[in-house]
Amino acid sequence: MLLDAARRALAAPRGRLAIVLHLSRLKAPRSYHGRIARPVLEQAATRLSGTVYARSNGDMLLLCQEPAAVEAALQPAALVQELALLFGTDPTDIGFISVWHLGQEATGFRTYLDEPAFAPPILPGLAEDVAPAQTAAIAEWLKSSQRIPVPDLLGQQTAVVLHAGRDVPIGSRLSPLFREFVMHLPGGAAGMDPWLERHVAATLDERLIAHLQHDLEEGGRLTRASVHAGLAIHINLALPSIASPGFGRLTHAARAAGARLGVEISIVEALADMTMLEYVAGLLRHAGFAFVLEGLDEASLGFARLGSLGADVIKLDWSQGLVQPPGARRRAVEAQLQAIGLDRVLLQRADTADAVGWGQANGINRYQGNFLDSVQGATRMFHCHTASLCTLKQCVARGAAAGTPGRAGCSNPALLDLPPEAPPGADTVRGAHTLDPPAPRQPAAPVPGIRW
Amino acid sequence: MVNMPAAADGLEALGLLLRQAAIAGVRRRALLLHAERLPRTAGRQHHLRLARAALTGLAHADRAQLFDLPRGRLAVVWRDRGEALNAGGELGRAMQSLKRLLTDIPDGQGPMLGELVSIYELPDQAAWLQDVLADAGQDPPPALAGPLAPLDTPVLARLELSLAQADLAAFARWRPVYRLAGAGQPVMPPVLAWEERYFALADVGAGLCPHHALTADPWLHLRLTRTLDRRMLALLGGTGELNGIGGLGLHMNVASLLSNGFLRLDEKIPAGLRGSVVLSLQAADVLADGAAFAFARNFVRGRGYRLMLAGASAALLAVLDVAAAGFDYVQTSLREAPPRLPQGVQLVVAGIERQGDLDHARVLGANFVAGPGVAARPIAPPTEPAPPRHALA
Repeated sequence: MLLDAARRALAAPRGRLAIVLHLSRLKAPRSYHGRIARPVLEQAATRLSGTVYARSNGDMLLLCQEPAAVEAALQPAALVQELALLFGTDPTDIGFISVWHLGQEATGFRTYLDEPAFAPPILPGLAEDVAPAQTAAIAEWLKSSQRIPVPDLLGQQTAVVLHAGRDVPIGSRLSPLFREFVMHLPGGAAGMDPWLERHVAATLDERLIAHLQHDLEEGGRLTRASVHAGLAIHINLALPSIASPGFGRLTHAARAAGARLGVEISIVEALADMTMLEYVAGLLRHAGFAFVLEGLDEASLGFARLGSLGADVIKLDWSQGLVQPPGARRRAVEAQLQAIGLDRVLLQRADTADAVGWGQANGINRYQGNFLDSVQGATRMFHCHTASLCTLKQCVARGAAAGTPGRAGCSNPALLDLPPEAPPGADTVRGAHTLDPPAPRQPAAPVPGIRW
Repeated sequence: MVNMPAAADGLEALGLLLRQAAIAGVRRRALLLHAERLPRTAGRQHHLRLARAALTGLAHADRAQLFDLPRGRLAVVWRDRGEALNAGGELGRAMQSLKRLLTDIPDGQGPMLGELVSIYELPDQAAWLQDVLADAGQDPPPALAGPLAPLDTPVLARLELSLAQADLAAFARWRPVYRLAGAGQPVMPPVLAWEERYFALADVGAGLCPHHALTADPWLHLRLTRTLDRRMLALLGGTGELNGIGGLGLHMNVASLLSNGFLRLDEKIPAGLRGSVVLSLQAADVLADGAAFAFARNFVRGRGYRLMLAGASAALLAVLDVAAAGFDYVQTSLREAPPRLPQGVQLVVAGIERQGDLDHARVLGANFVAGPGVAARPIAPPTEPAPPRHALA
């Protein structure tokens, strides 16, 4: 239908106008983009007596006659402005919105139509379904998860510091920062209703805390290698879980075992009860545990001033949107990173070389993500005498599993838990992640209503 | 709500919470029910059940925790945003229920209400409560089959199914928000600015899920609000709902603003009226998916709607730049009101219960106020005609 209409327009291009919203070029496409943009285009189509078409790659095309009246002639420009505001992009970003006056410049439109229409994968997140079946599925999962041993519900990932040194292989420039244990939520957290996700995480906290306490007391496999290597162990907890008696027992167990703990708190959780946040931050500080805020994304950097909350580390989620956002947003990102302090920023979900490259270009040297997991896996395989039995992908996947089932097939599982060796002369990580009092840091600006 | 299972554990857990509250200055309100003061008559077990049932409403309060204590005592600790004390609030309703319970006890045998119930402000009175608890004794707790249970996912799934089919019009309410005269202007009575349309959650719970506390678990409560959002959008899209409407306030999730339901409502709201529609969001929702929030914000502001940050506090506003985030209003309580707001952002103070609160809100520089204490005032200055029920902001 679109091609028929386009062909007719190109056959008689005089006085015809084509406006294309290139949703396929969005760096982080989401399902709501098209749903919200369509009525905007359709209203413009009504005003301009045109028709809106959708391309198989998600692009939207408005075909109409060139407005004749002077006031109507302004409408295409107004539409471009409206779309640019909606998507928070620069109206002059012609790569995202194209306007072709077909009577004068049909070639560009023809070329566009000839391009193959590849649809980018829609990013998960912001579950849009509120069907009761979703809640029922979570209820069923929570019930069945009771029968699964805690380590089998856990994944692990080692956060690293990437040191400078152009001539040194990247694998030799990594220092371990901490090892994070993360609960595998049903179907992954992506796409789950954020509130159900928080509920599930909070529900599982009690088991995680109890298991970790027991593991530390018994010198169990989950924590042994980290404790032995002096590597901090990080877990994600809800605020009430940190204030629970169970967490007090975990604190004692960690002290007795000489383990260094860090607790990661979701920003959502933190902002939902700031009084409680203030209290648990004090508890963590008193215990000498690292306090990490996680879940900051590029869009939130524009208005969230988290630097004043006193966290030792703030985890920024990598997204393509961080790469060359429009000018004002780019300046906001840079200003916020500086305000937080680059030595407190960790880029997480840095799954590609591009992500790490962006981090390095912006002065960040702390990372978590699949890309550096692969680098660590490759280093591990280099030292493994049975490496010929495995692929790198298998080694990385097994290294990310905390439970035994996820490590099946590995002939040298002890190696999976060994952190990368810090390169000679590399700076040790300062301050947080130690049971000793952290090194003095410039105090954060006082926050009204918050007593640290 | 967190429901503590055994009396000894409940006492320990409550003691821990009180110590934490005292150390950290966490503000909570605690109610202690002295069940041991109920007469030891044949109806004692019945009265204990009624007393526990009376606290059902309080279990709906924010972050409510119920503690079973020795000697049959019960304690509820919750975060009070100022609404619970209202006659129609959770505490007010609980006290009414307890009064009814006491009328069931023959004259002279039962305690006075003030003897049966003590209320403590935490952390200031945490030490008092600890002293009382130290006298709790070690009697085994009576077996109580209480109606209070925290909402869990199986129940929520069934409730969502019920909500999808039930007619919720009977649970929909209006809540007025009033404009105050600006600084430097003569003090005038508040004038109706807009009205919030919402579902009375306590009534929804009583009607559809009477044995569970709907707001005690903050995350399942928020999940529930998504279903309620969808029903509210459908309700407002119904025939006649928007007739003659002026200012309208809606509490929504970000995901709801990006839903087809909101698009359908948007089609029905005249363009000229959108500037009088105030859409309220929670801070946690804003940060849960910043990209989605930013897109939703661009969308609704581009359409002309106004955005309000609900449930704000001074501490929250220190870390959330409301102007940069694109909010027009910040809604807070008297206790949590920030010292100042960025230029262009207006302050809405909720929970006004009496004239003193209204005066306090004026001192704080509130632009708008809400609460039963305002409703009791004349809403228009004598020189102007009273506005219609849904006046434009």
